[in-house]
Amino acid sequence: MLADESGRRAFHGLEWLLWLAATLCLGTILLAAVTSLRSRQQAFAMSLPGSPGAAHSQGDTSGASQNSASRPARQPGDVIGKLEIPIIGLSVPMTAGIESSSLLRGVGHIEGTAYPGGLGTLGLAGHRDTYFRPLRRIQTGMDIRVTDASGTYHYEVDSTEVVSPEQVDVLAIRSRPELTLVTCFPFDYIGAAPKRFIVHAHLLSASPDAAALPKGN
Amino acid sequence: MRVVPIIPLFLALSLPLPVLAAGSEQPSAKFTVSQQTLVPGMTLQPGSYSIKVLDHLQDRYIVRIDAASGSQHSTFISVQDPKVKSAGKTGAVAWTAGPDGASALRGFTFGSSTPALEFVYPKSDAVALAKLNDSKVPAIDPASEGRPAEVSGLTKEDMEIVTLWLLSSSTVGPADAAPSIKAEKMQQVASNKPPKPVIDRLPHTASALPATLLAGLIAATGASLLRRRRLADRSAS
Repeated sequence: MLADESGRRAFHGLEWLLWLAATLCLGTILLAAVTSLRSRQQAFAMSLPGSPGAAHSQGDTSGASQNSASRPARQPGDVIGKLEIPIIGLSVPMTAGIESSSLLRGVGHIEGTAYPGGLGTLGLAGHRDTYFRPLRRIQTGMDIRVTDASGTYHYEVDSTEVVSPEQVDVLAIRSRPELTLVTCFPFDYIGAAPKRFIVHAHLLSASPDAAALPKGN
Repeated sequence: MRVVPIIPLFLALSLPLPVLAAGSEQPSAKFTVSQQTLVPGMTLQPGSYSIKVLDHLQDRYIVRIDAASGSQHSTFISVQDPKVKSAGKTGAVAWTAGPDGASALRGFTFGSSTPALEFVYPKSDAVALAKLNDSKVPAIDPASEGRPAEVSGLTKEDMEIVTLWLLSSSTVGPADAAPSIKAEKMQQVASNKPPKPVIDRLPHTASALPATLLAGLIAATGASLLRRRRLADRSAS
């Protein structure tokens, strides 16, 4: 009788422990979803008329508006723009840095690489199981749009490859301005995936907001 | 691509007073501008200026312009331009058109003693010049290599290794109808060290969210089963 009672209490305690664990886990998911939603709203706001990102046109020749020197100081995790690949339904915020907090809010800009539209290689990293999940469907010739405070730039996908994490030369500056997307591989791997999936694309115009579309679109 | 003849700045500016520094190893000269004129890193106000080559690497020159009054100066990169013919003259060479209707200097010729130099502009100014002039514009974008964005913030080492680009007006799109600014890297001299990789290892990009979701669902399922059993036990007793 006493053993029954203590067993019942143990099961009752375990039940509450499991409820608590479930609440914490699902609360974390909810918090991440809210954070993601806010980041998306911030990124979307950059492309609204009147926002800094929408202030430029192909006819603008002042140059001053495109100056990377005018970019505000940024902290890791700040939303600094938006990455879109319309044909595979990818539209995600772009954040500063590749810290955990940055990658929770969007795809992270690898510090030291080029800015959107910059003369160099722009490096962006994202989680394969959240923001960059659609990348498994990417193909050569697709249009990639990157928007930041200086405007919207178009990149055209050239190739994809799978590399080891040590192959940082995928971010090297090449003969033309490029974009390199980095995510873990295999996409369905459980845990820390051993490889990296790389997307190489090149910049179509160093001037923002050009009505430039790659040949595949 | 059609090459637009370069307009010597003698016409846009008041007559320059080119004076090559006698006995100096690095060429220098004086010139005068009569209107606001863009050079890399600053806009020259009307007045007298001196220009001097500070350093010479294999693929680039470090040049400094000083106002005679001492109020302005800028140090920036230039490259040899075989298309700019000095014809033995010394003086500034202007772009056909500059941003916002202002003048912009394309380069400087130091007579026959030194090759003509073409100024390298920050990306934003170079884009504007490429839109307005049917010629390739040398450009740098140090901010995109993790260096200071402003020309004035660049160190000597930055200027020695920052990547040089050429920007030109082009077209892209399905019918090559959309105007664009094409960028291509200038050939890098082997002696120039290529920029180091920005990171040692590609970032780890698997989030904990799927595992967290799975753990949460398992915990909720387990809690539900225990609850059902507890309620069944209670109703049985």
